[in-house]
Amino acid sequence: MAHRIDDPSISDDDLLWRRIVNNPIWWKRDEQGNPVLNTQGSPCLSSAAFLDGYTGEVSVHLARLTSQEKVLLRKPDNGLVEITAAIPRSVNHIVTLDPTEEDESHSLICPPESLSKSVRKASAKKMSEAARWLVLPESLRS
Amino acid sequence: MIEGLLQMSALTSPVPRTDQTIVQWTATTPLDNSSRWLRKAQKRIQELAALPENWDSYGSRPIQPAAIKGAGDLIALLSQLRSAQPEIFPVPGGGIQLELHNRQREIEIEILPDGNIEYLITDDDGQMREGHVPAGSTGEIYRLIYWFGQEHSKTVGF
Repeated sequence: MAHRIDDPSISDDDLLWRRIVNNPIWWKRDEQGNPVLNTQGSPCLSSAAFLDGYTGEVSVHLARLTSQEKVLLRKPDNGLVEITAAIPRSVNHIVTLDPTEEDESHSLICPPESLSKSVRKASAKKMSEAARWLVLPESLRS
Repeated sequence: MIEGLLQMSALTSPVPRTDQTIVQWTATTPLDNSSRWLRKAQKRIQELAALPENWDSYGSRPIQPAAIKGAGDLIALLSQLRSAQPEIFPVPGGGIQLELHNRQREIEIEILPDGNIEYLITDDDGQMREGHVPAGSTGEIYRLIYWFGQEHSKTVGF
């Protein structure tokens, strides 16, 4: 994993967006296959949406450098959730810009090298619970 | 409560059975509720195994063979232990996560791309604890499922 440093140009109040694929693989469902709703009435996300079992780094988009339309341009059926940068930082994760040719807003949430690997799951759970839906995946839109 | 069961590390054998309706403890599928969800869970893992490259839209690898095997072995074990039905999710990078929830407790068991296992438990008070299980080691899984099935146990708890 590349050496990452928290980016001070990203404020705690900055919003980070993450696409949620339009496939019932990340939202929780009851025995009838219906989405389980949280206290806000939104589908509950699995913490798997904020995990990476290989690199540990989770791709997001820095909202102020992009738009919902751009993020969903090639995936119009996907959903979109947001968290503030303060959330991963509150569990000692790094937030850093990682722009690509296609997407200048691409950013990463990374566990710092000093953080034990064994605390990443609790961090992912906290991030998934804090995530707020901006756009529901197509199959969940009524 | 979490501290309590961690101290009970000697429990590495199958949990005591108090329900006498199941008389078999073998690799064959018992005819109870767990066998009904087992088929669904096996199908779900097959579906996850077929996820293509970039299935998460962020360039994830497909689910890796060691994770598929580990998840299959784990759901068979959960079925044998007459566990509640787990929810099954793919993890970016090539792993699989099983989640169990009841009114008081939660367990997330992640089979990493290399087959090793990491888990997160959340107890009655919302306290969380994580742990690691080497691939192929089932003793800790027995303890997790036993703990999950207890209601407000004061003597045995993670």
